[in-house]
Amino acid sequence: MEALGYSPLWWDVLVPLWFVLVALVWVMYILTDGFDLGVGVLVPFMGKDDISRRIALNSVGPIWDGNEVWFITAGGAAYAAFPEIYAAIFGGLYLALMVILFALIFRAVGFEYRSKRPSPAWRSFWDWAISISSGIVALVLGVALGNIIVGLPFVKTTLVDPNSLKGFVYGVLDSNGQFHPYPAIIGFLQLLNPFFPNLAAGIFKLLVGITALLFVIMHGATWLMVKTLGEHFERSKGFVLKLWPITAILWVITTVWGFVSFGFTHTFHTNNPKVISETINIDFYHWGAVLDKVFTYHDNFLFQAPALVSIIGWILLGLGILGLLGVFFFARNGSAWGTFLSSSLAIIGILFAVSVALFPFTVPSIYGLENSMTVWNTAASENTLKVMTLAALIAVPIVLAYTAYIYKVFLFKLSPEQLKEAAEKGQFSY
Amino acid sequence: MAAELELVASLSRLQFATTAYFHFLFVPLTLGISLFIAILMTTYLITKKQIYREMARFWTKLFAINFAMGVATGITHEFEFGTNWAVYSRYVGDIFGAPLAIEALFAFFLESSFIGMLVFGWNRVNDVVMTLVAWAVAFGTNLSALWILVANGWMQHPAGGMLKVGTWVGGIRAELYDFSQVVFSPVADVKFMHTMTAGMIVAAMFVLGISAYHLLRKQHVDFFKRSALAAAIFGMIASVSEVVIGDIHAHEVAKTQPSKLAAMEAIVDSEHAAPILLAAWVTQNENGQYEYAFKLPLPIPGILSFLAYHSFGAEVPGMNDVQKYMEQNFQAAMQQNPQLADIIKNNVMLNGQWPSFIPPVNIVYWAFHIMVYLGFLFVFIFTVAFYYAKKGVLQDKSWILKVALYSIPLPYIASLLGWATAEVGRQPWVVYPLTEVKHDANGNIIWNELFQQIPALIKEGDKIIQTQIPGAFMGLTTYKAVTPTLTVLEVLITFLGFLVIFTVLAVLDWWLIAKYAKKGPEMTGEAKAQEAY
Repeated sequence: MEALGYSPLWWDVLVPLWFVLVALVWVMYILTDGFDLGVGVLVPFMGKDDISRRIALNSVGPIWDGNEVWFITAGGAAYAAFPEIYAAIFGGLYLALMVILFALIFRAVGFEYRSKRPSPAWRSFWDWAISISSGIVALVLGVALGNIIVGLPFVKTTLVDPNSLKGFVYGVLDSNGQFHPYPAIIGFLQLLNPFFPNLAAGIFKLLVGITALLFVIMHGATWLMVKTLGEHFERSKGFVLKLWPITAILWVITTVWGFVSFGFTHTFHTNNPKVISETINIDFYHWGAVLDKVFTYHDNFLFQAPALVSIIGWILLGLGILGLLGVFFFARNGSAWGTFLSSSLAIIGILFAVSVALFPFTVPSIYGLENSMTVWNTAASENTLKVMTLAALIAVPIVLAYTAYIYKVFLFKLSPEQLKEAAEKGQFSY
Repeated sequence: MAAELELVASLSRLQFATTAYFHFLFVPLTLGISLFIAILMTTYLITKKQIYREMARFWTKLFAINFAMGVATGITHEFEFGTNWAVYSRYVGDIFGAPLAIEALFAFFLESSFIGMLVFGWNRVNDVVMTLVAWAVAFGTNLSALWILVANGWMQHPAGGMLKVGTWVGGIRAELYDFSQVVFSPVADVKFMHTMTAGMIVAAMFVLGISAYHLLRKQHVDFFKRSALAAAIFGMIASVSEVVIGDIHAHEVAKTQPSKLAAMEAIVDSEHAAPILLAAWVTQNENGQYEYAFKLPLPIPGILSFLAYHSFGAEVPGMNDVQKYMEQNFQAAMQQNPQLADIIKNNVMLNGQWPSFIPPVNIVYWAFHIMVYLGFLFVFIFTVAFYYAKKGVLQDKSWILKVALYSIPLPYIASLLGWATAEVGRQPWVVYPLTEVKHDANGNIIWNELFQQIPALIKEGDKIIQTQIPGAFMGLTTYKAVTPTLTVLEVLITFLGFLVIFTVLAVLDWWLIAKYAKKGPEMTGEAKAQEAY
């Protein structure tokens, strides 16, 4: 029965490691599928003529499918490493996820079907289907991020109803401590409700959604700069420069607001050691509880001092700001790669900063510490995390290597002449 | 259990079945044709005959249209376990999530990254690289199937897991104990072989049927004669192998899932030297006992006993006994472990009663039997086609060409019936309790030892006890696995949404495939390159 024995040390290291890895997979998703979502939104705006739209489509044609796998991987990694989060979030936010899935379905077939018939009506229909569904995915993911930052109405049901429900459930805790799941659709609308949980937080989460949408479109435009020439390059550059001011303003507002009101200072005040030990670490082993009243930490965690975490957080935020400024300056100078990489840096910086600020919380609850999901009360077992770590160590370098190779093969510039020439050579394009 | 939640569970099952079926209308062709294309490209590299490259390009085009729907329907699944089956996900996610994540990392990335290259790479990179790309896609799609079937195999036979009681947010959960038992589970591995071979049959019939269409019209004769010969060889190897693999698969089911076996073969009462029933219909009398409305046995005794347990005299479990002894084994498990009795009350019992442990018999029986009959038909079609193609006269045998053309849907139907057998046959379980059917020296089933032992960590007060408990405790019925906060309205909206959208998209997809299939190979030929938009 050796394998049944738990060595808490391993689990203590693996759980935060998987928090970082899952965050990394989500960042990779936003980074890669982010630009093809953005390009998707921009397809009908690239021009009224077919060739301009085809340039936009073909800029992501060979790679969007691989990019989207990061989403699948993010879901799979969350399922394996934090099964409770997977069950609670996707079960609770049922309709929100379904909206994303339907949008992704339309996008996937849209890319493939669009150029399969010459009819302008057919092509225009799919152009708009791709555009709208791409926008919906970005917007809903953004609003979801905003909701997670302000906290969601999750209740640890074992606290209120030990018999019938299990785990963290999405719903309302009334003043008598009774739990009620949201009736159909209301739960979904709460995500978009600007008055929930209060006016300020409600507006904030919607602003995060709009910022995310605009940023993703801009990110797509920076990719179009990389992939185009001549008038299409100028048009893409125009998108970036036109979107930049409003995106930057919203970015600064949501970032400052987020970190001041919700971020580094998760003010979950509690003195109940049982609640703390159940939330921060499962209770059958804990090596003493040293807790900061403002910023709660697992005591054995490598980064003992919140100060160090703050420094990491500030560096990431700094990178984000650097990237944001870079987008504008490189775009103005016409440097396509500079613009695209700056935009990527901005995404990496801000998303990791948010992750660091959330840690050890994964989905904070508006009903306080005892109802919040942290890495500790949602993580998979030590055995699973070990298997997954081994798998990730082997697979991720291989995936990155062949992804880089494929990107390299398809890194040529697109133009009407190029598309025509490609067709003459018997090369396929959308 | 509230009636509303039962309706939510039923609708969720319907939705999952619908999305899974739509997914599997596109997956098997992907599995088989990716391999077929890789073989064609390799043949081209060896023989240097341009026509094999043209064939690979033509079939790739159809493959790409098919693949788009495979992806679109597949994305849904990664998330449906959480959306509709949250209780299931938090109960077994520690084990079930790992193969899904590994599938994405090792396989889905590979196929999805290289499919772009397989479609867009022609004449951009050299043909050796394209051949490697084709193999990467074929390897990726089939590796993907392997991991998905490891996950599915675990639901059928949850080996390698343990139970942790009293130390988790949700109270109990299954945790990973031995990953090698999950991956090398004989149930999972034989399922994979069965599915992969089914994919090859689907692809072979698809290629043979479309080739037949053109041969009947005497167009591109050389091109499609070669395609037809290649498909006939491919299909013959696959369909003959499938008979053998299917038999091994059924043997694994017989060992681990007695209720599924009883339904698949419509065995009402346990029997020694059981014959095979060529046709049957089963009803239940007012006492809930199963009985035949009608049956047509093959008049050779012992065949079924032999196929199921490799011994002509072995006792084969009947539904009435399975129900009776399952109840007894569960009762015994609860009495032995009174502190854990609530687990079974929560996860298995419905309103304090034992549910029926027998799946809907007639659906499972007929799904299984029609699949088997179709399997033998495929062996026949491919063998005849191969015989004529080898002699070089296939283009003149219009009867077999017509049979092949109209048989294109049949392997799809067989695949779907196979899944119905596996998944309807698994009911009422979403996680089958860890079972092993054992026989004594006289060929009698040892009924009071149905369940295998599983390890457990149980918290009592401040102590954690390591122990072994019967596999009964791993079982979770489908109706107890559904997300408890879902409402009928929500699931109804999404179910109808999936049904309508997938139907429309599937029809569009096949219409496009048919359009490009009928157009024939010049579309991808160098000469007509300008037509490629």
